[in-house]
Amino acid sequence: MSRKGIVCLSKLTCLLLIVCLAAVSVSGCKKSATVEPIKIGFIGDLTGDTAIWGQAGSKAGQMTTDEINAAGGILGRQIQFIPMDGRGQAVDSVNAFNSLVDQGVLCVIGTNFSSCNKAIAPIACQKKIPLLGTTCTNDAVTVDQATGLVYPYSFRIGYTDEFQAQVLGKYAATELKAKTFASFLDMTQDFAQTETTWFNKAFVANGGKMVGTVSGRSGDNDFRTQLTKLAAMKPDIILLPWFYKDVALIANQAKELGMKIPFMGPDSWDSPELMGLAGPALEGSYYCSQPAFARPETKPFHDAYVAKWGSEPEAESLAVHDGLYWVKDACERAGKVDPVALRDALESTVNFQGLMGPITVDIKTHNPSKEASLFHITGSKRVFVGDFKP
Amino acid sequence: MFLQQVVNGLSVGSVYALIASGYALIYSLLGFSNWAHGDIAMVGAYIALIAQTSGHVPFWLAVVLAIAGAGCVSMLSDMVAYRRIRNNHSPKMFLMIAAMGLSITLQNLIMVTVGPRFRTYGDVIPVRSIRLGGISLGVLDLLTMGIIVVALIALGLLIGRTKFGLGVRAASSNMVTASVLGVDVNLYIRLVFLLAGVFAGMAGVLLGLKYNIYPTMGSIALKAFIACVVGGLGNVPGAILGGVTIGVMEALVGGFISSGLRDAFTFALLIAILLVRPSGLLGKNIVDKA
Amino acid sequence: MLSSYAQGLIILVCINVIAVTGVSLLTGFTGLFSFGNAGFMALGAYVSAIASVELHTPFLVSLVAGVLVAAIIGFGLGRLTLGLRGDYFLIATLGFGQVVQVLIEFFDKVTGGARGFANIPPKTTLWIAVVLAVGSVAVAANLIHSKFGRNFTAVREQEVAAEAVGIDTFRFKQMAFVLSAMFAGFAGGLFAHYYMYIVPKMFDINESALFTITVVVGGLASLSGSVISCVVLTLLPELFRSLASYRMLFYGMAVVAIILIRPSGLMGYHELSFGWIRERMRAKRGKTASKEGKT
Repeated sequence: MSRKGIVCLSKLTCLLLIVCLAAVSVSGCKKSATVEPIKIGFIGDLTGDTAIWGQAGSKAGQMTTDEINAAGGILGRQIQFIPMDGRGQAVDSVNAFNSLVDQGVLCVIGTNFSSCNKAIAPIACQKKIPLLGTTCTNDAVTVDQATGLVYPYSFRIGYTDEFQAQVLGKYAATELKAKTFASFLDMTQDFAQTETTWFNKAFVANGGKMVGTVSGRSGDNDFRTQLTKLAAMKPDIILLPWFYKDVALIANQAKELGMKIPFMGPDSWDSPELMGLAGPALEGSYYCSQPAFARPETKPFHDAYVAKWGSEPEAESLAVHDGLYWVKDACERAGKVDPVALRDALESTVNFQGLMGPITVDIKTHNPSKEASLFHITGSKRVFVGDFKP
Repeated sequence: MFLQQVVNGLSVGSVYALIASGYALIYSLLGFSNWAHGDIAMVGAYIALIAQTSGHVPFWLAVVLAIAGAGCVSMLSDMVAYRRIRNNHSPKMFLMIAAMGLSITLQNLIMVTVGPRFRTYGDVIPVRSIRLGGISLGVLDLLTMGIIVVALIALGLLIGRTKFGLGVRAASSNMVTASVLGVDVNLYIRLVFLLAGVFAGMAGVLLGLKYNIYPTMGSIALKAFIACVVGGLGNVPGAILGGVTIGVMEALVGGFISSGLRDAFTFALLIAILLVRPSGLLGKNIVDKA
Repeated sequence: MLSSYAQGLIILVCINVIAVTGVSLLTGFTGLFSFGNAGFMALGAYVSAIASVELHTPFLVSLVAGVLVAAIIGFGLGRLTLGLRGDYFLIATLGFGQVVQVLIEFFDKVTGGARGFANIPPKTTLWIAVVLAVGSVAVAANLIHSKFGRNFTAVREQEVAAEAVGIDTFRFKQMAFVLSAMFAGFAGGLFAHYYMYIVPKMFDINESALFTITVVVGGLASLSGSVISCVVLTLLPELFRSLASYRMLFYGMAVVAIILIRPSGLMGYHELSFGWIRERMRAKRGKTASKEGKT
């Protein structure tokens, strides 16, 4: 191909890109309606490995939207719930957020992955559309780690890793009288390192000692190599910050190795499936989670969800439910439906009563002051122990 | 701890070996790496699961169905996809790309039909362990290793001592000559795919028992592939040796050096073998024909 | 003005086009199938990000740093593995991609590991992305239709004959591999400076596989085929979000279908150009004319 050919090819590339531009702009066109409903977006992992959480959130969102609409909506207007799939990936979640903003949403509820929210937070501030993370627990979601300042438009509904790790650490040292602990970290997840660090701080502050850490990767099957190493360290407690499906594998394999050391874990353990996958193996273990279905107030929601969808709700469902009602409450306090006003009202929330507990927002970190529910696993059942603060 | 780690390694390695031997069978005959092999194992695991939960059949029957089903899927994948590519005389790479496409298709087919949730077979074999002089051996593990050893011995006898095995060895040595000498090469290829599928189905059920059942469980086949390369591609005994070697090496590296860098070591071993002895530990030196 | 959603998509398309151009050179034109492309993209992304954030280097310098590191490691890896046969090489590159991910997660003090690397200054704008994408395609096209390109083709088609004629096939394979690493590293740097936050999972084996699928579907030995395929495969999932759970299923089936029906890919061995379009139209007209002639 000659000089001419190269120019030709470049021209065609340009042409192609312009065609895409047109196509995409058209697809992003806003449709006008006479009485526009208030659009509230939701981003969750609707497909993929952890789709069970995203779908539970989406279903809860639909159900709660219908409930709010039946009771008159927000300030007299009906709301429209728009779920989008973030696939648990930062790039897809960012695209989803941008798309929702184009569709004219008031705010976006989601996601449950800290990595996704960390990517969206600066964009939410740019676009001035509030982002309400559901159960994403990393600090960096609401606070810019480089400057230490809060992201004004990034909020969260659940608590943070720091918080729950400290609750666990203190409980282990004071109530379980453990003297030593070891941590088995999931290298692929950010919360593992954060939890270990803060568990350690609380544990040491109450007289304990860390004897070692071991790492693994979520997606692997066999953890017996690492478990054998852990057993040799002889800790009183093993901290296991992994997703429930890996926790099940690890616990079963620990049982096979004849290990009797109890495990402790954060809200990533929380799923009704965990007992079915590894109930007996987790005998004597503890985990803490967002205050959820252990609270009697959640029973009507739980029953309504099961009746409507035929499956068990997850903590994510409650988070979305609370998120929608929180937005309603904030709009009513602000007196109008507007993203900037909503942001101010969210930030000044004092004692909003959600099904997951009360929310009072800390203006410096946007972290809601909550409690963590601690559960004990015994007899293949999880038994509610109590609500704790660190 | 050392001995326990070795036992851990043998346990994992035996599963690698089972999957690797299926790979090696197909490679020996057709010279291509069946990327979808791990996913055929996954399909087998799901067939057993569906038979058990929806069909309410007893577990042993579910396993039989799984093995048969996986064999059929394997055979079908050849008839539908690979044979056409072979007959087109397309480069071998295309087979691998088609296999990759098939792998993605199978994984996602299961994801959209059965769902991505982790499943188990329930308490078919309880989680218990035996202690032998300071080492813990899981009951399930022993059972798995036992089954694998029996299966591999049976495979060895099949390939080494039967007429069918003779045909397979002839065809894998030189397909054209074998067909000239009267071996129905197409039939043998189909049968080898069936056999590889059967082994994959077995591996799938065992994996489902040991670990859990989920659509991407076939990704363990990557390690099995490395095992094949290490042991000598196209060589079933090599695949077995490779599987066990990788399993034990991973356990020892993870236990004594770093569990975080374990996979990096495995791949470094792969590169090292490819550079130093590309035909693998037991492989024959195959020169690329022009 | 364009919505940021549309802008974001176009930028993503441009970044992918740059990476795919490199893969096209390597796979489509030189015949080497590699699954390590995302690894080089990760290297480019992290090196340029660390340079921008820790060393406060200007955008261009960070990008160049990313490209250089990718090139050096590509050279080293190439030296070790390009002498191997087709499927061994594939596995070696696959291994490389995995190892890069594992190492990024392991050295989390430097890279942030699974927590990700944040606060990367947003420097990639729409115009920068588009101009660089078109530029990359032009550079690649130039290469292909030069002496180098002919040598790449020789390596792909008849390696032994090429050797016999005195072409140092190893050197050209090396060149193609390093070039593909550089394109990927470049794309990675742009990616990091657009999304402002990177995690290892963004560069995993699925991404590598997707690049190779793009080239295979688009057509081997067809740069325009790869580009068009890249544009389509990046935009399609966004345009069909409701069918998201079926997305990967369609991709898988599409790959199998393409390989079975039209193995050289949709535009294999052909480039899109005005001349080609004119020819096809002429051929069509000719066909109808001859049909009329017959009746």
